[in-house]
Amino acid sequence: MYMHLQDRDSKQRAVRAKVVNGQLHARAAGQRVLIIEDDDIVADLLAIYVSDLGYTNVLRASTESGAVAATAEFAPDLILADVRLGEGGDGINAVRLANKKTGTALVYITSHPQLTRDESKAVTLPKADLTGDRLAQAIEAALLIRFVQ
Amino acid sequence: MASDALEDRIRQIRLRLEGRLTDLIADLDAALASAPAGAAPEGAFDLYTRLHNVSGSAGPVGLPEVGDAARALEELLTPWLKGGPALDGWREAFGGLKAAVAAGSR
Repeated sequence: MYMHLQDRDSKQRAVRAKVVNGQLHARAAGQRVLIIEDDDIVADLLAIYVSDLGYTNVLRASTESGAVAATAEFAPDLILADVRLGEGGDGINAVRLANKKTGTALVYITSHPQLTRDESKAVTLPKADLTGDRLAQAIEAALLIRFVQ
Repeated sequence: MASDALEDRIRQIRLRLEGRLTDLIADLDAALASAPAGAAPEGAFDLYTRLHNVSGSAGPVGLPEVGDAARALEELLTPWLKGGPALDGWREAFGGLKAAVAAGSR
């Protein structure tokens, strides 16, 4: 699933994330979130947004091998993954290797959304379009995909 | 609207990114001057990764013009990273990134 690019007017790109379609993002408590991202700026931004959504159990990995190890130990309910991890490897590969747990919701946040075209059970959010609102919507969509699987 | 606390935390991240942009521009200047049409200089992958990161992170922290300019330059420099010359137009794209960074810092 691809979250389409919308307007590029930053003034309209509100970052509020606690409310999605008028409802509180209430499933966050107790859920484990793994952020796979090699850029600390984006990782920090994602951590702020998921914290704002109410997720308190958050772990980060910046490499493919780190993501595999973190997933094995942490058993995340939700994964937010970059695709290109620089010299640290490939986010899609990391998820495929690591994510043996059924029912993990998955959102790719990437500058190369074309690379996730074959990931039918994941939601893809273009990195340039990342706001708190759009991340919350992408997470909601990923949770829905998980629910209907 | 976002809460003031959330906005402030994002603003802090933006300031961190702006601090890195000056160094990136200087390092790219030096690297591109040393090997404008030949093989990628030492450290090219690190530079390219830093540029790629800026192309992805600038927009989400409120600097969309910087992100767009970085992305344009990134595409033109992809062959350079692989050992070949950068594609035509990289000088203009680099100028565009410098201008976007200067405008974003005002």
